[in-house]
Amino acid sequence: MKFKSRRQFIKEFGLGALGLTTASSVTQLKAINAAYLNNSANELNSDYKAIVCFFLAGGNDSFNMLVPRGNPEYDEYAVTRSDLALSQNELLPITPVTSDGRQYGLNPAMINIHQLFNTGKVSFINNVGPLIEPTTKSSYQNGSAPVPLGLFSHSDQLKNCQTGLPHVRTHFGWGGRMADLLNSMNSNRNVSMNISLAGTNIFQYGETLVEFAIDPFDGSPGITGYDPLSTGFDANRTEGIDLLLGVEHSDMYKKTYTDILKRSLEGSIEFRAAMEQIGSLNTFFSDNRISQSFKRITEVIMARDILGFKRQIFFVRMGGWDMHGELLNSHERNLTVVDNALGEFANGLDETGMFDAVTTFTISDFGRTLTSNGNGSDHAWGGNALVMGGDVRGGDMYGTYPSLALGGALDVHNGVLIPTTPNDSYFAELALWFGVSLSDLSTLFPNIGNFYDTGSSAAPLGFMNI
Amino acid sequence: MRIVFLFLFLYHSHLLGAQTYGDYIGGGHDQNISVTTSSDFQPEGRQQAATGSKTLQVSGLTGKLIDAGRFLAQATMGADRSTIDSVAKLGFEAWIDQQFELPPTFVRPHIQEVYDTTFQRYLAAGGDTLKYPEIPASEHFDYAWWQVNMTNDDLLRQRIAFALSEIFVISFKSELDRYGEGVASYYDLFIEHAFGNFKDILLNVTLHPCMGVYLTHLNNPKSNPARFIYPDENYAREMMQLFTIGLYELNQDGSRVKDGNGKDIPTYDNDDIGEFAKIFTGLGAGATRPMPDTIIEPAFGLRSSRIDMAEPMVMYEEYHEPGPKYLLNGFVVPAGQTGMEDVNAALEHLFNHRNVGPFFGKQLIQRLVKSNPSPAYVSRVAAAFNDNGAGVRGDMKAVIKAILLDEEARSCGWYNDPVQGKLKEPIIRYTHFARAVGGVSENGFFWNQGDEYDDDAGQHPMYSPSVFNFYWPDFQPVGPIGNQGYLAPEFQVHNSRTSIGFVNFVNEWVVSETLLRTKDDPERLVLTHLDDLITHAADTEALINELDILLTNGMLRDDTRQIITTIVDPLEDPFEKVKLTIYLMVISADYTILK
Repeated sequence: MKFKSRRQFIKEFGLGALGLTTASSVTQLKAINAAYLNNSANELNSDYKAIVCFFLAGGNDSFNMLVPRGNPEYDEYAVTRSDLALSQNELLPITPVTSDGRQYGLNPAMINIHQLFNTGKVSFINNVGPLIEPTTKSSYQNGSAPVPLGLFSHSDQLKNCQTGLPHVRTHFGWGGRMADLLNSMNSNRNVSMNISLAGTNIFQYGETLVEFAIDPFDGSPGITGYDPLSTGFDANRTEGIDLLLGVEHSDMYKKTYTDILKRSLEGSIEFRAAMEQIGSLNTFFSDNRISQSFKRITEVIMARDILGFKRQIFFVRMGGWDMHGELLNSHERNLTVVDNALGEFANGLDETGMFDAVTTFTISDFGRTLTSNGNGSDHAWGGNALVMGGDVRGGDMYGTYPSLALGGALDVHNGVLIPTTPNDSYFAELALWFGVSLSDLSTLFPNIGNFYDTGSSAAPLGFMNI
Repeated sequence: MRIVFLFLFLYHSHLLGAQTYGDYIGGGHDQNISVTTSSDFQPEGRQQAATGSKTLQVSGLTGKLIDAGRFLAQATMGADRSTIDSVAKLGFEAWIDQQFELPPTFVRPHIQEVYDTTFQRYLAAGGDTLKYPEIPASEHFDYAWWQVNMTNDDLLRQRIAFALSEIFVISFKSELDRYGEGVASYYDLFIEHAFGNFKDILLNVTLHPCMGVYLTHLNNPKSNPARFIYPDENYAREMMQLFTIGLYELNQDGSRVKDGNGKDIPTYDNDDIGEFAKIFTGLGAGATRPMPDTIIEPAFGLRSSRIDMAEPMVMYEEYHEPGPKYLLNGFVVPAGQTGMEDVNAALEHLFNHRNVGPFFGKQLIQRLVKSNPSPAYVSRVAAAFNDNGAGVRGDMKAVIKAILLDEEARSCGWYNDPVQGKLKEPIIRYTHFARAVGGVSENGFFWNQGDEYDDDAGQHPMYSPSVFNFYWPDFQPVGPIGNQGYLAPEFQVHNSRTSIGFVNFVNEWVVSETLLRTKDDPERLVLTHLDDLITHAADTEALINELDILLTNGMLRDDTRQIITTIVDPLEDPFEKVKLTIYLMVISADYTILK
């Protein structure tokens, strides 16, 4: 192992036990981390990076997010989408750096994202989705191509975009597995590098590392009345809790319960101590779960040196995208929330000088059928995604934007489009930027070789400055 | 009720020695019974010997009480001491039979009173009428649900109903959050049919407008290819994947059938889903919501805001997909039938699929008893589903008895198996405590709000994050459980937030003595009933023994007991002593894990 763990370091340098409760503990933390970083035996990249996985749960109707605007492509769109089509003149026009000869626009709700796109901070990934190998309509329909398991089913597609393994049903996420690979870059051993604003999730579930869940509004409240410096009832309570959490259970359920509670308590104490030291964040964040999630993320990033992180992975989940009905109104409402949250997050990161260090990307179960069921759309396959960050090569669209005419080469039924950009390539590029080596890429995404030559010096899609 | 119990006790007392479901602790009909954890006990089918964490050295009445408490921890949301006493006397099967006969308590009848009372409180506090929900919403359901589950006698029925609500999932985390009465009537379906037949549950769920909204088969029209409109596939897909047959062909013991290459066999494909989608077309409003000024006739296409969300949907023939429907394994629903004939045929077709017994049976075992039932146990339960002994398929009573009276749930040999047990769901940890210890209400109301517990501890009835319930049935937590390939679904909601959130709720219940509270009136509390337990304050051992009967069902480890005793013995104030004892017991793994 390249580094000593922080605990080993502390033992060796005689710094004693970590009794963390008050501001003094943060001074200790800072001192420990500073000494750790200065110790020449520890190799660390000096740069910090964070990725934020923004999961739109239910299947984002993303061909109403990124829309053909010029003629004849808009007309094709309008005929296909019938009562779901946005009107041409309300689309927010964008001019991608790379032109494919067609014009595009954004859903009118996306005012902030529109500006971020125009200033080179946001890009889109076209028609992306899970594939095991390049697939055509005929190889799909005649069954000769292996296709992702459980296509069109929420539970399976949720798993596919969070595991990156569409050929098996597993619950280990690619965020968790990246964390397993890269956690040695971090010195903190109490708080996971995977911070979730949405509880336990597949994306961050690794083989050894799992999420540290915090609340979008409250952060990480500790155990009420737990305080080693207290007197009276709370002192007895604290001692009792410590003794209970120290029991070595052989029963696997009891051990798991106790271990999780113990780690959570230790983590929350350390987390809260760090949050007390970060200073103010003046950027406005809306008072809803999503914006507040991004606010918490900004604060945690501000505490990165106090806590001892060089690499962090965040997870935000927003529900309500499964629009089988009331699509136009619901989609506009949801996109407004996303638009505000991402605009606020960009501002917050600018304020703290960390915009270049953070890449935010969206995933969703699937895109939705281009055709209408009378009021909404059904489950489909390929859809459009969004990336935001200082290292994103912004203001562009990556991958092939498909024709939206029905019955085309990619349309397998009802405007369900075979993806033209595989998830593997999308995720691999993010992983490479984040610090995963090319040689580890095939472990992370076993099917990547079907789409991208891992010996190549070119990036899989080219949307990141790697 | 007491007279009835007494009569039954006298009548049945001579039968106590003739229980058909095996031995139990302190059964008394074997004088040489000794209950210790033995390192050479080898449960059937297991590699390792049991290494029990506790030596049970109880006898006589205490043993019976502990065993009764453990049974009730599986069979109810929670039970008080007198219920434990009566089960200890009555015996398990007799108690179940009694529970089968009790009249059900429903949630919906409480909704109107809850709504009217809270609305009046809101107005009295100066609230704006226009800003209050027009009809009962999710918070009113929460209050009514707690009222039922704090005061009811039909304990088994309510436990089964709650388990069914975790399989046939709808949730307030959707537009349903404004339809508290509709969701109450949906939940009442499970109360009504808990001891009925699975087929009726399936039909009623299919026709309920709340399910129609949640899985979008309300107002699902037949194909219109010219407008590129095709039947919505949502309900068809989820009802096969989650409510009936699951993804893969199963043997009776729940294991997957393999093909010639050793691979799993999917039960259906996307074409099948398309065919089933045609079945679930044409269902629309059965009744409209009473409106003050207008009368709206029910019609296909009426949205949920106009519909009476408590009345079943009805079939509108002109919107039902015509033509034959090609379902599974060559089964064809012929053309020319009415829409409801199609629906009934399709549901019957799925009901008769061999997967239902093991698929449904295993999930119900996981809810009530243990996360990793042996294949033999699943098989016995599936057998009871397939035939209740009188040739009837889908009999809930037979399934319930098969689960709760099976030796794998009851016998002390299994009791100490390392794979036995489960993490109690967050809501069960709450209700178990609330019924065991009890609450004091000054006005007879036991209302409680739900979304805080859901946020902080991870769960509240009808607040599932999606149709997949609060946790996947096959979730494996990192650590010794996952490493050995075992399942523990409930751990999916046990994380750094909820593990601490639960502990802080225990603090509220015990230290702050606040058992239940409403959102709208913070003054109206149901206080935790500690008075009886305070009487044991002077004698730590007696106190802990009593709590062991009520809360940990004999699973209190010696070292936990030692820790608690050491910590609380020196405390002089009886309230502090009792509170700290209870608090430490309830946050410990000995309480939260059901063995």
